[in-house]
Amino acid sequence: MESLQKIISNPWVYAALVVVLTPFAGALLTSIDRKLTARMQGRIGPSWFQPLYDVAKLFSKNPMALHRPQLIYATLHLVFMVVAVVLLALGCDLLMVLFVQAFSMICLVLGGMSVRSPYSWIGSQRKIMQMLGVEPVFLVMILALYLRNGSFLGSGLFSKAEPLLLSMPLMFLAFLCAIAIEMEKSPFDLSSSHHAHQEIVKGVTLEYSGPFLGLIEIAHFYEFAFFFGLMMAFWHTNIIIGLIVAFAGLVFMTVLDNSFARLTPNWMLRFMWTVPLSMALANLIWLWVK
Amino acid sequence: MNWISWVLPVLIALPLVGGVLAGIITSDRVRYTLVTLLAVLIAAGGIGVVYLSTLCDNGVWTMQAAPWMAHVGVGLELAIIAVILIVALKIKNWWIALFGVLQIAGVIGGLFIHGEHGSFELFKIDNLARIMLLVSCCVGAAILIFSIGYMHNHQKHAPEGAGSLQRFYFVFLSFLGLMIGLVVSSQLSFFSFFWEGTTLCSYALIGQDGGKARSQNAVRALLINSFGGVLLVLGVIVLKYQTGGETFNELFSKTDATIVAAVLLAIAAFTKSALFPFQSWLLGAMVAPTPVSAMLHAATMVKAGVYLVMRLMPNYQGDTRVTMVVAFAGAITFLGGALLACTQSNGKRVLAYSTISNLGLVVACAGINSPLAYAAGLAIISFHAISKGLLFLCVGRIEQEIGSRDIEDMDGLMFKMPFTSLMILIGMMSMLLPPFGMLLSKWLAIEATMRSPFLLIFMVLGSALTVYFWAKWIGRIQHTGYHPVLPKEEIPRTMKIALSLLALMVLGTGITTMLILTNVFTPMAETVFGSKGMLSETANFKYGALIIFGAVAIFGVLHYFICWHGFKREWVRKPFLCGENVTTEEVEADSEVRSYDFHSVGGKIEHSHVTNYYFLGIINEKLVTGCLNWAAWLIILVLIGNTVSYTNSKNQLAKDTAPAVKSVQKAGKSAASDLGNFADSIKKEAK
Repeated sequence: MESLQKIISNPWVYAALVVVLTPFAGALLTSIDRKLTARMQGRIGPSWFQPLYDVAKLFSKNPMALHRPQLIYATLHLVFMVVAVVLLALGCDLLMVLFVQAFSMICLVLGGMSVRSPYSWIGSQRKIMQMLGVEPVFLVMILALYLRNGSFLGSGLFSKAEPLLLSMPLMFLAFLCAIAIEMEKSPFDLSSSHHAHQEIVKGVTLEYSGPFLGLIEIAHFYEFAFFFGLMMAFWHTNIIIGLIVAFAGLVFMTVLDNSFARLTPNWMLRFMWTVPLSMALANLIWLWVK
Repeated sequence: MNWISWVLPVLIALPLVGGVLAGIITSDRVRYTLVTLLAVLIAAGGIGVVYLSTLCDNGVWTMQAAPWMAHVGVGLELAIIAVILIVALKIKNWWIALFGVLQIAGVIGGLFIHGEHGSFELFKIDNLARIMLLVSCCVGAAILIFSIGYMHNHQKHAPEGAGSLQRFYFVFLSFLGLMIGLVVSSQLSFFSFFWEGTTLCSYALIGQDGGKARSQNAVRALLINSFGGVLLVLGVIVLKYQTGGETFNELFSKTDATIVAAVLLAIAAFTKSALFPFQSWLLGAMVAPTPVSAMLHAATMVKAGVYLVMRLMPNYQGDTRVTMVVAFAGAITFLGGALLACTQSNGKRVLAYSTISNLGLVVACAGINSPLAYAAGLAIISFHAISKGLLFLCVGRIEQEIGSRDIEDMDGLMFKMPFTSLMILIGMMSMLLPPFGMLLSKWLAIEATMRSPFLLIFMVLGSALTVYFWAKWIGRIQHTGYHPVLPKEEIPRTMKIALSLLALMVLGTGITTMLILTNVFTPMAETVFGSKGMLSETANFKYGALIIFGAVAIFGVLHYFICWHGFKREWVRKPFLCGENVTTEEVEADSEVRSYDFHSVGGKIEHSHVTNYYFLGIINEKLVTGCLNWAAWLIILVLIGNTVSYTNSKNQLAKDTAPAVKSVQKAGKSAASDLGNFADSIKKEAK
């Protein structure tokens, strides 16, 4: 047991484990999400392994593409998402983690913009609008974490005995809105919706198919796990409560997803820059005054 | 040992003498050879001087001058102001004339203040000057080389009434020489001379192509910068009066130099760096030929302003209450510039707003006044100069080729002009992506902003907006269909060399960013602030950078073999257009039909085109500019009012300091009380 612990605590082994295991965790979370949605709609829902089957199926398809640069961006999207997860797991500088994650999103946008498809282009335009909405909230959150922990390092999260949620409740709410955007949950599913209520259903990823769409799906697993992990970090002192908090966030987003109609990108931006950003800033000021 | 004592004067004189020569020579071919030669010499000289100066004790090189040189400095200063005055009389602009007269009065008045002097420090090269020298000489040289090919084409299609190439190169080269002089000058008369000289050159260059609109913009540049010139002279007088010194060093080594002078000089720097509310001249300057814009934005002029702020601020670490307001002036410009850049579809205006925004960030860093912020400021100055130089030159080249500077017209440029597109993509990527320097410096700047949560909101929103407008532009350029092979681009050799050089500089500094940051900028900031170990957190980043590089390398190789090299023609599909795509036969039959057109009702072929999102109808540029200008003036008034009350409280309001300060004192105070809480909170942080 002890030797096992020793092996895992080696940063390289740890990083490799994170890289290998995270997509499975992401897939599991995705299927929980899908099950929940199904139950809310009075369906049974797919099997627990459905997201994995989907990806496996994508990789068995013939490759199709519009041109080469498009594929570079799919790879880069995945690479930077993996790097963001690894950096977070290793407790690196959170601002850096955020920038890498944002770059992964920019790659998705650029991939969508590189092809001559009007739908893909509209989706990409909306995706950068979404980024414009969430980036400030993420940045403010990291700065608030700095105020609380005295460090920008991800490992600094665990430096205090008090759970994060108690000192940053408003921040958590703002963060949930931001995740809903990143995970394309209604009413924020403007650039690449899962549902047919949007006029652009698979906007930004429209022109990807087969194995290349598979890469993006895997990146999505990483992303899901990344945000779930961050939600868990809001109650870092106890892993069970942490799971409950993160799971509550997940349920909140699923409910949100199933109960909202379509809204416009401008509305989204206005909302993000007013309500969640103000909440995040208010929380920041609390910490500052403290 | 002291080679520099003649290399440096030669380096300053080289462009000035070369400019005169280029102005006399009538043969284009000889002039181009001369310019190429000068570019090489300037770059080599700049690097040489920087290298030699690092060998001196403490890494600071100074040159003493005989007392009579001070009179030469004053003479030069008066001469250049007299030229501005003559220009003002010629164009009958009484405001500029008034500013000219005020400056002359100030300089002559200053003569009575300064007492007896022995020999003094004429030139000084320290870390900051070295950075500026490298920027001006290397980027400036690349721009010079580019200008040969560009101006050759430009003169063929120049509008009527445009100035000759002789005039252009005379002013253009002098501009660079004056800038080099500016960053190494330690004596204030010489500094003012170079400062006014760059103002005059920018006026001449903006009006190069003649015509009403251009001359209006040129006059605006001269007007705003003359106003700055008056403040500069005023600030210098106050400094001299209070301390009796006449070089930067002497002034700041004495404790009785008050913040009043620093604030006057800082506002003068705002005008030069085109911070809000003085940004209009830089936007107007876009009418000049592109090498001029590149020179203004990357190598000279606007960099002079931030240089002065960076030079000043660390000497006022005790006056946090005032320096924080300076930081606010910078931060509002950072946000405002980025916001307005998002609404522009004119490529050059996007670049201009982005420059303004970044200069604001540098000023904000200088105002924050911590080692971390200072290092970030240095990094932004240098990385920004290279990237922006490259970007401007590319836009100039594109404009000559496609006849438009509109971003929407750059659609599919990757196919039409692969080389230039690649260059501009490198330039733009370096503005926002890891591991390039701009992102890293922004990262440092945000960490440094933790000193004030009020500044923070500007920083956070500004940096999100920055990503927005660059991503849109990158997308537009690489928006293409499938092409098995890209065509070869016809491009004049000089342009190709200049663009490649700058791109290499961008890539080189991009890959070594981390090394440059920890080994160059951090020690520099630590020297200035006399503290060690302030940047311990950057060490942690090395680890992250390694992971990023490693992952990209591994996946890059995999991707190359599987997706790029293994790419097959059969994979290619047409874009999804609801199954109504045009057929291959239709595309071949009609050259107007594109592969991404589609059938509408009755088989009619329609073209689909989606433009970028520019917040039309949501953000009105004029209105937002008005609001930002108002806010920026308010901050400047707060700055002045705060300074005066601050000095008052120290019982140091000398009755004869600055008459201008007095007149605005009232207004400043009322504005200060308006924003009472705002100022109080800054005060709190100071403690």
